[in-house]
Amino acid sequence: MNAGFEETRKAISALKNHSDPVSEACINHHGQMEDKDENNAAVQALLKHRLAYPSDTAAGIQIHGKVRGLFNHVSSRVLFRAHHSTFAGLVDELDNSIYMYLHTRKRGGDIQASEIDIQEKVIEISELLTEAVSMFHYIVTDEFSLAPTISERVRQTTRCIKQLEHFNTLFRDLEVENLRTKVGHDIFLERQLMKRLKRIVDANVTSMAEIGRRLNHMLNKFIRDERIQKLNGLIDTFYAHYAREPGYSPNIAGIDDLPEVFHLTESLQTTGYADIESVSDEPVLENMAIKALEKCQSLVKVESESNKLPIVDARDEEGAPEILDHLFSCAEEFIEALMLSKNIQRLSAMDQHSKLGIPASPADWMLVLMNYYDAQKGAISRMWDVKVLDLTHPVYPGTSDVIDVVFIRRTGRFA
Amino acid sequence: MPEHFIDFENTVTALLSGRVICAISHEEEHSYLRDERRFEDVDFYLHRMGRRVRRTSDGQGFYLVYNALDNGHQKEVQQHFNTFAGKLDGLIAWLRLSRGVMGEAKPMEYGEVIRESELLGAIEESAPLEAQLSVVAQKLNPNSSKQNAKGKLSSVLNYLRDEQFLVLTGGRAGTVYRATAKWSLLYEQLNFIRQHDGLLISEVPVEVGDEKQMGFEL
Repeated sequence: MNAGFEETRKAISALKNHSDPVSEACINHHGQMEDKDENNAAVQALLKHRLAYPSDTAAGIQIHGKVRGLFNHVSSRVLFRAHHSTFAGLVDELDNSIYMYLHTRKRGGDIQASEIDIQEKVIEISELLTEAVSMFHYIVTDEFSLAPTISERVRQTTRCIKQLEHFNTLFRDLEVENLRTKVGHDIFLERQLMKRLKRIVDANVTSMAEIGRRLNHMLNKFIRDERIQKLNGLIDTFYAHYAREPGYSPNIAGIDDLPEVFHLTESLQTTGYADIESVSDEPVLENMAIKALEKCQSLVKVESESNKLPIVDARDEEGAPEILDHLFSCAEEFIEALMLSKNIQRLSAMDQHSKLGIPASPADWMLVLMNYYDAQKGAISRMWDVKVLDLTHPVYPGTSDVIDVVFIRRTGRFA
Repeated sequence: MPEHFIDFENTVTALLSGRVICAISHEEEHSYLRDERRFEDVDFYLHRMGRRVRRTSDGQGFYLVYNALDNGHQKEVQQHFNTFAGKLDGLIAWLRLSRGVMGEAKPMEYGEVIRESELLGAIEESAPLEAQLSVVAQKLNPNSSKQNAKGKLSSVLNYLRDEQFLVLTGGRAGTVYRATAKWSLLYEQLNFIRQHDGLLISEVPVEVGDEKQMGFEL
C-alpha cells in the first residue's frame, strides 16, 4: 500500500516538474514529445514512471493515452471553445486566401505561394475540425457521467445541443454549395476544397449528426427520468404522510386561490322540454303521449293480474308502525321514479330525504333504499348508474361513512 | 346532420358529463379538441354555460371547470373533492403497488398498459405484494367480498375503470387496461395539496428499485 502510494506520488511529481513540455505535447502534438536536449529530463522522467513509451514512428516518445486522457479531461471545455472560435476565424482566412489566389491568377504574381497558403489553410481547418469534433465527442461521452443530478445532466445536455447548433452554423459555411461557389472552375481549388476539405467535413458532419442524435436521445431520457423521479417523490411523500397520520384527509375548504384543477364540474345532463303551445312540437308530443299511455296501460294490466294472487299477510293485524309504512312507500316512490320517469337525469337519495321529509335517519333511509334497489337491480342498472359517495372515517381507517347514493341516468354513447 | 355537428355534440356531452377526455378514453372527441379552432369553439360554447375547457399540464387530457366558484359551485366542488379525498389513501397505495409490480420504478401515467394477468402473476408470487393488494382493495372497494388475490385485483381494477382512471382495451392476451389522462389530473391535484399542506418531498428513502432510473445510459 505504502509502496503504491510512493509510486503514485513520484509519478505525479514527474508530471508536475515537466508540466510545460507534457502539456505542449498532449495539446498540440497528439502526445508526441520530440527527443531534443531541452526535453531530455522530461523524457527520462516520463519513461521511468511509465507515463510514456518510445515512439515507433518518430524520434522521441509517445505520452501514454491515460495521461492524454487526463489532460483532455481537465482542459476539454477550454480547448473546445478555443477550437471553436479558431475554426470560425480560419474559415474567414480561407476565404481571404482564395480571394488572394484568384486575384494573383488574374493579375499575375507568386501563384505557388498562394497555393501553399490555401493548402495550409485547408490542412489547418481539417485538423482543427477533427480535433474540435473529437473534443466535443469526449465532452458528451465522458463528462456527463460526472453530473451529480438528473437536472444537472439535463442542463449540460441542453447546453451541448446549443453548441451543436453553433457547429451547424460553421458547417453551413462549408456546405457543398458554398464550397462550389468558392471553387468556381478552378482545378486546384476543386482538388483542395471539393475533394480534400469536403471529405473531412463530410466525415465530421456524420460524426456530429450521430452525437446530435445521441444528445437528443439522452435529453429525452433525462427529462423523462426527471419527471418520473418527481412523480415517485410525490407518491412516496403522501404514502409516508398517511403512514404517520392514518386519519389524514386533505381539505380545500377556505382556500381562496384554489387552482383550476379543483374546479371540476359535476356531471350535467342536457335535457330539453317540449313547448306544448307550439304547433311544430305537436307530432312529437302526440307520439310521446301515446307511448306513455301504452306503458301505463301495460302496467295497470300487470298490476291487475298480480291482484288476483292471494296475498297472505303474516304480520300482526295492527300492521307495521305507520312510520315504517311511510318510509317504505317513499322508497317505492323513489324506485318508481327511477323506472318510469324520462326527464329525471340525476336522483340523489339525500336530496329526496329532505324533500320528501323521510321520517328516518339518512342512514336508515339509504339502507331501505338500497334494499329496494337490490331487489330490482337488473332493471334499474340498465338505465341508471349508481354512485355511492362515501368518506373514509377519520378515526378508523378502512371504515367508510356513506354520505349519499346518487342515481345518474345512463346516456347511450357513454353508458 | 353534418359530421362535425355530431363530433361537437359528442365532445360537449362528454365534457359536461364530467369526463377527462384523452386519446385513450375518447379518441374522436380528443382528436376534435386538438384542433385549436374547434377547441375554441367548444370552449366558447361552454363558457356561456359558466364552464371552461382546460388541458392537463402534460397536454394529454381535456376537462371542464367552472368559470367562477359561486356558493352553489363551491359546495359541489367541495363535495367532489371530499369524495376524492376519501379515496386518496387507496389511490396512493395503488400507485405504490403498481409501481412495484410493473418494474423500472415507473409510476402509473397516461398511456400505461396494464395487463391483469401480468399484475396478478407478480402479486401471487410475492407475499408482501399480496398484502399490499389487500390494503388497496380494502381502501378502494371496501364493499367487495372477494377473498383471493384475483378477486381483489379485479375489484380494484373495476373501481379504477369506473372512475375513468383506466379504460378496458381488451386484447387477445387477457384483460388489458390503459391508463387515462385522469392520472395527469390527479398528479396535478396532489402537487397542489402537497404544497398547501406543507408535506416535504422525499420523506422516505427511495426504494432500491428506484435507483435504476438514475442510471446513465449512453
